[in-house]
Amino acid sequence: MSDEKQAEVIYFGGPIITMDDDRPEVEAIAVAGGRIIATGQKEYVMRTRTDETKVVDLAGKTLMPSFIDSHGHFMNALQIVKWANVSGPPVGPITRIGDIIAVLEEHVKKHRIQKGEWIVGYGYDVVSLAEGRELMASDLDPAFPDNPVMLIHSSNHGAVLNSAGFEKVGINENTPTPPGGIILRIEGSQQPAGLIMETAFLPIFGNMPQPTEEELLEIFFDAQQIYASAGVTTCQEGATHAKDLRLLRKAAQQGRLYLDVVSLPLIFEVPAMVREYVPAFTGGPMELPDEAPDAFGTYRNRLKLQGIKFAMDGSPQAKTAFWSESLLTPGPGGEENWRGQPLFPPEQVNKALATIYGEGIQVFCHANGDAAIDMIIDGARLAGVKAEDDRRTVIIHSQVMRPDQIDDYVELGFSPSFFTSHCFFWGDTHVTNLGEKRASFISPMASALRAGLIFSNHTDFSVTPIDPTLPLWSSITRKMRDGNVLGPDERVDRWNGLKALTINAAWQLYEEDQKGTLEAGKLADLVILDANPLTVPEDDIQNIKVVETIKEGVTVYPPQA
Amino acid sequence: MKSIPYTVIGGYLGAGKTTLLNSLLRDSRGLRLAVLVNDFGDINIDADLITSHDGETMQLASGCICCSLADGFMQALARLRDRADQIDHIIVEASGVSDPVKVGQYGAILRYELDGVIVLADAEQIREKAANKYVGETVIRQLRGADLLVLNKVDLVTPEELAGVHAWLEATAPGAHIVEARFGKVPPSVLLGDLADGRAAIESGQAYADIHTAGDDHTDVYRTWSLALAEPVREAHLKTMLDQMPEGITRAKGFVYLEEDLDHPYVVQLVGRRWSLEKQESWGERRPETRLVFIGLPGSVDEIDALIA
Repeated sequence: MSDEKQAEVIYFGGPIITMDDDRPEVEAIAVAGGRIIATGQKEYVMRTRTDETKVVDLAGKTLMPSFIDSHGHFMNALQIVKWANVSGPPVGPITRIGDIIAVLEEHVKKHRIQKGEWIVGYGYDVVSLAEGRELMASDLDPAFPDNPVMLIHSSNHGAVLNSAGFEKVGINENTPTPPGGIILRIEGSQQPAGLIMETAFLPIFGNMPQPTEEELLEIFFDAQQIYASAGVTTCQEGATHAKDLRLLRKAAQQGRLYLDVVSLPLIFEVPAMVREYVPAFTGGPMELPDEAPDAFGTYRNRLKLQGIKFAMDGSPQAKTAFWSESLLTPGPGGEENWRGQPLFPPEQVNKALATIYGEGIQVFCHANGDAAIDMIIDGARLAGVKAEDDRRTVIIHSQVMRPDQIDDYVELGFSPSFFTSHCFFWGDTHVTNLGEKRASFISPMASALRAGLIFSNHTDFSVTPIDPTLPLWSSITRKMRDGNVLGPDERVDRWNGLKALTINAAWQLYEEDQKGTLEAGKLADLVILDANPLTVPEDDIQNIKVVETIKEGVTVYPPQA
Repeated sequence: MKSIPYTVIGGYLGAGKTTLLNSLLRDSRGLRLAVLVNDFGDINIDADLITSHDGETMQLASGCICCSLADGFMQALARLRDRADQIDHIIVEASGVSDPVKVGQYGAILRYELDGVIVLADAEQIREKAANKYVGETVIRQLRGADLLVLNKVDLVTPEELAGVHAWLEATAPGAHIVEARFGKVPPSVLLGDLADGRAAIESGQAYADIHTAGDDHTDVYRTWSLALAEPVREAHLKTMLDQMPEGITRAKGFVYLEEDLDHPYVVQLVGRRWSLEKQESWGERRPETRLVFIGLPGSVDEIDALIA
C-alpha cells in the first residue's frame, strides 16, 4: 500500500469474510473511489484513514463480497415488481386463503391499482393452503368485485381467476376445455371454479396487457431493489430476447442501472441483435458476423453482453428435460418409457457451437438432463475445445448429471452453474421420477469440487427467489421439504458453498479480477449481513438478513433518499 | 372470428420442410396463406414478390404472408387473429425436433381449425435418423403423429431401397397415408385441399379430374374424384368408409346427407387418416344430397369406388 491512499470508508468490528482462499478473514477493509484500497489487520488498514474518512463499526455484523447472480432472469424482475407474491413459505407468506386476500389488498394499496385494472399475483399453489383445497373465484369475489384477478400458479403453467377475471378473458360455462388443458368447474355445473391450467391458461396469459416501454423503464429502480435487498449487485438476464436487449440498452443509456446486469442473448436472436451493432450483417440464426465478438465482454453503462445462451432441454420437474435413461413415471403426455427430448437437433447444435466457439464467444448452455449434457459435450469435442483453452463454457443447471460427465467437464473446461435448491423445491419429485440413485446425484457439487471444477450456484430467479441464502443452505444441507437429505455425499462445506455465490460466479463471467473477493484493487461491491453465514446454526442460514448492500462504494440498499 | 384451417408441417431437420414451404409461397394457387416459419433466413422468395418486410412479417404480392416464430409461437398465432379476414389457410412449420401433434393442439387452443398434421420424411435418411441416440424417439414420434406422411427425396434411393423404406414405415407408423415426393413438391391441393379446383369439382360433380398435370414430370399425378348421392347415407356406413380410406387417398371434402339426421348437412374433412364430421345449421335453399370430392393417386380412387359400392 502506498502512503497516498486515502480511505473514504473503513469497515471494522465484525467478521469480514474475504472469500479469498489465501486469507479468508481480515479485521478491516478500506474503500475509496468505488474500489477496495486495503484489507488486513485493523492497524494496517487504519493507516489509510484521513480526517474525512468515515469509519464504520460493524458492531458484530458480517461484511463480505456482495453476491453475484450466476444464473437468473432479470427481465422477470420487471414483471414481478408489479405482481403480488402469493407463494407459501419459504418463498412467500401464504399459509391459508385469508392470507391471499390480505396480501392482495395490501398490493392494491401499495401500487394504487384502480378499479377495472388487473391484479396479478404469482406463486399460487394449493399445497401452501391449510384449507387443503384450491382457491376459488368465489373466495376472491367479495374482496375484489371490480378488478380482474389472476394468481399465477407456482409452475407458471396455470392460474386462479376471479369472476371479473373470467369475464375479462371470456371464459364461462360455455367454454369447452381445450385438449391438454384444465378448467376446474363448480361441482354440478359448467361454471369455471377458479383454476385453469396448461393449454387453457397459456393463450390467456399470452394475451395479457403488456406494460409500455416507458412504464417498464420507470420500474427499473424497483426491479433492481429485488436484487439489492438480497445482497446481489451483479444480476443476470440469462435468456435475452432482442426486444429485451433494446429495453436494457435504453435503461443503461438513461443511467437507470445502479447494479451490473449481464445479458446472455438467446442464440436464435443473436443475428437480430448483432445487426444493431453491425447493420450490414445479413446472416441467419446460426450464423455470426466477424464483428460479433466486439459486442461481448465489456460493460457499457453497467450492461454487458457476456456470452450466447443456448437451451438444450426443458426442466426435470416438468419432465421436459432430456435424459439418457427413461423416467420411472410416464411422460408429461402420459408417454411410456419417457426420457424427454432435446430442443434442437444435434446437427444444429454442433454447427452453432462450432460457430460460437470459432468466434471466440463464451457459451452458456442450459442443460438439465444428462443426454442434453452429452449433446453439448459432443458439440464441444467436435469444435475441438480443450480445458487449456480457458473457454469457461458454463453449463447452466447441470442438474441430472452422470458421474462420468464430471470427467468430460474437466477435459473440456466446462464450468457447471448448479441449482442445488432443487433438493428442497423438487427433491421429492426427482426421487419419484428418477429413483433414489439418480436423484441423489443432482447438482453434484462435492463431486465437481473433488474433480477441481469451478462451479457456481444459482436461483434461476424468478423460478426461485433471488435470496442467496437458500442456495447456500441447500448446497451444504441438501435437505428436502420433508427434512430428509438428498445425496448426502454431494454436500459441500460453507466456504465452498459461499464461493459458488461469489468468486466462482465472478470467474464464470471473466470478472474474477474485479469482483467476488475482498482484495485491494477490486470493486467495492459489498454486503453487510446480520449474522455470519460461516458460523450461524445451519438451519438459521436462511434467516440471515441483509443490513446493507454496497455497489462500488455506494449504498444501494436500503435505498437512499 | 371466422374459423381458419390450420395445417402443421413437421418432420426432422433436412426432410424438406422449407423447400416445401418455399414452393407453396411461390405458388399458392390463389390461396392467401399465412406461413409461420422458425427462420426467415431459409425462406427464399424473389425480392420482387415481397411487398413489405418488417422483420416479423413478410407480405407477398400474392396475398400470402410469412411470419417469424422468433417471438414465440402463441404470440405469432394470436397476432394472426387480427388479420383473420385476409387469410384463407394457416401453415405452421414445426421445428425439426418438435412434436407436430402438440403444435396442432396449440392451434386448436386458439380456436383455429386443425386441418391436418403433415410430416415429411427423407427417404434416404429417415431410418438412420430414427436410430439416432439423441433424436431417434423424437423422429419416430413425429412419424406416428402424421395424418399424412410425405416421403420426400424418393429420387435419391433405388426402387429396392424405396420398397424397404415403405415396409419400414408401415411397421414403424402403421396406417400412415404416404405421399411420395421429389424436391419437396406436392401439389398444394394435396397438402391444403381447400382449392379452387377442388371446389369446382364439388360444384360440378364431375368425376376424375386431373389436378396436377403436365409441366412437372417429377410429381405424381393426383386426381380428384367426386361423388354425388341423392339418397341419404347411413352414418355407420360413412364412418366405416372414412376409416377404411385407401392409403393413396390424401384428402376428402364435402357435405353429406345422413339418414339419421335428414334436416342438417354434415361437413366431412379428411386429411390422410384424420377425418372429421361436423353438423351444419341447415340445408337452407339447397337440395339435400351428398357431395364429396376425393384427392388421391389414380389407383386409390378405384379402391374408393369399391368401398362405395
